[in-house]
Amino acid sequence: MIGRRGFLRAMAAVGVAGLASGGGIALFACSREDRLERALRGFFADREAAGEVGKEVLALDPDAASARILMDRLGRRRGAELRALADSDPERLAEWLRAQHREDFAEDRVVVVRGWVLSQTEAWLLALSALP
Amino acid sequence: MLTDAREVPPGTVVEREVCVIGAGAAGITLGLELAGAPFRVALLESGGFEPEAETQDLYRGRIHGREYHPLHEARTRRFGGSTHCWDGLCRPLDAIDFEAREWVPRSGWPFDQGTLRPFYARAQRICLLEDFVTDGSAWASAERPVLPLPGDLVETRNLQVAPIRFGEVHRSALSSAANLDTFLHANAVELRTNEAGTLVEGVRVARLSGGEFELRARIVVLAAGGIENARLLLASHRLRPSGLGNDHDLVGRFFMEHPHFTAAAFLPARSDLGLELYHPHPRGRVSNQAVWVTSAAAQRRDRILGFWAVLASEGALPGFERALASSVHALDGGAGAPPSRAVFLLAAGEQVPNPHSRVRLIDERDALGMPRVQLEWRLSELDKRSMLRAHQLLARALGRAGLGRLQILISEDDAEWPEGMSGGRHHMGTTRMHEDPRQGVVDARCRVHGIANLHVAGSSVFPTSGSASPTLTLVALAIRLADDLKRAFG
Repeated sequence: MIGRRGFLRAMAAVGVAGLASGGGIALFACSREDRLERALRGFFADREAAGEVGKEVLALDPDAASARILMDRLGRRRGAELRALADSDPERLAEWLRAQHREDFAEDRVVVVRGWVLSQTEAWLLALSALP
Repeated sequence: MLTDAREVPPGTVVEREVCVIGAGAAGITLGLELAGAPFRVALLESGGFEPEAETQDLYRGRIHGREYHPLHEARTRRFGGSTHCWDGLCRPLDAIDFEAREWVPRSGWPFDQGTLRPFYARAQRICLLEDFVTDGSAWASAERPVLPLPGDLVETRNLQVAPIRFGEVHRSALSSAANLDTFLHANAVELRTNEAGTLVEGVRVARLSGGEFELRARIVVLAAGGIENARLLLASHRLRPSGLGNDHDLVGRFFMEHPHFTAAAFLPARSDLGLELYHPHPRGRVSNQAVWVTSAAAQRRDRILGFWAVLASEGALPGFERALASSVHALDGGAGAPPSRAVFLLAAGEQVPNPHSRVRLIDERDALGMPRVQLEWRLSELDKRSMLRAHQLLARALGRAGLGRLQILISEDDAEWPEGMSGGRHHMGTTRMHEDPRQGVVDARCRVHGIANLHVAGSSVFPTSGSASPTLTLVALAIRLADDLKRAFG
């Protein structure tokens, strides 16, 4: 059985897999982008906890330490849909994110942080929370 | 009738129609099934009813290469066999386990799951199980809901846990059978054949107390376990240097195990996620537990082996994991509180039949003069990759279903297995079944190729192991063999 030691070992052995490189389309070039960024950064109610995990994501992928890059990545597949949600009910945005997150798992778009298998959408959202 | 073989005068020749060597799960099943038949059966058991150090010592052997349980601790040599030390995990093999899979070298049983189905039904009764409903959702309820995992990745199965001691539960039925003689302290040390090696004429039986006698039977069944079956065939080399049934150098090869380890932790999406079905719970006279298996579709798609995982102990969350729990709950948790604990997974997998994974005789001899064995358990790149990929599929399934996250502590290095990985003391494959004598020691009816009256019972005949523990399947096969023997005697 793995006990606390296993957890600690996993914490020490940070690994990453499947992280996509940056370079999505610049979809967010207006004030709507700012509103969307605020909404996305506010997705996790406990931003401090999310930021703690997000820092690990960024440690594995330092090139992603930019809101612009992370938002490009989040909008890479359905950017128009995401942009349209900037001014909508936050719950609709949350549902959209959850759908992306689950689709990531279905399509094997995952990121491994300290051994934990996260969806790319989840990892990028967490990374956004870690930005100053 | 029970006989202490130490009281049989040396040099005696005992004659029966059928001789079964070994009174473990397979041998006792044969005894039960043949009880009341119109012919006489001898059941030879090396030990007695209680543990005896000197008898158990006959199991000592060497381990070569990969670490393994000491051989005298990996099984039990007394009436009831290794059911004295098993965990009682019972699950039938899945349909895909019987198939020839082009990505699994030497896979394919000579028959499909449907052939064994009626025998599984009878095996349930011998193992004192509930009727088997393999689909894990079938026994779900409002109190114990099934988690809705995507079936293209992972399926839920029932695991019945009934660690019955065959030697205790079935002792009275065996001892009261008029046509069945159980000889305790009777060690089969050699199968004696005719000159051509095509017929077993007698079984040489030795006692630790000294002296020997012979048992002659029209049909002999080896049911001594996955290592001893091979040992006795190899050691019976008086006329054939390579041993019996070994014209194609297959006896002792293809030793398979189920690699077991705990290398993953499950973080539920919320603290009240119903996991009751996945922890042991009573179901009739057994303890039931739902397990996750890699779906057949995923095995085909990813070209991997079978795998199962079950929830085991829980652990409190360290700091990073507490933070992760909060975000996982925000994404997937819905109502309820974030989880405060993770659950470790015990996992086990199938291994590829590998001719270099083997049991062989060594020069050292036991107290009865029999050569001891050396076990070399070898695992392959596919075995390791399958275990890693199966965990990854489970992680994706849990995430996709919004049920939580999985932490996987398995190196991507093919040669490196997780710390604590060990075999489940499941000894399979050393007298594998195949219709072609160049590829199998026994045929589809478990008869040794080229020897008209010698059969093998037990998991040593498994051509592939599947991921399920072997006992239920070996009991089913023993019932099937018993039916064959009854037919043979009209």
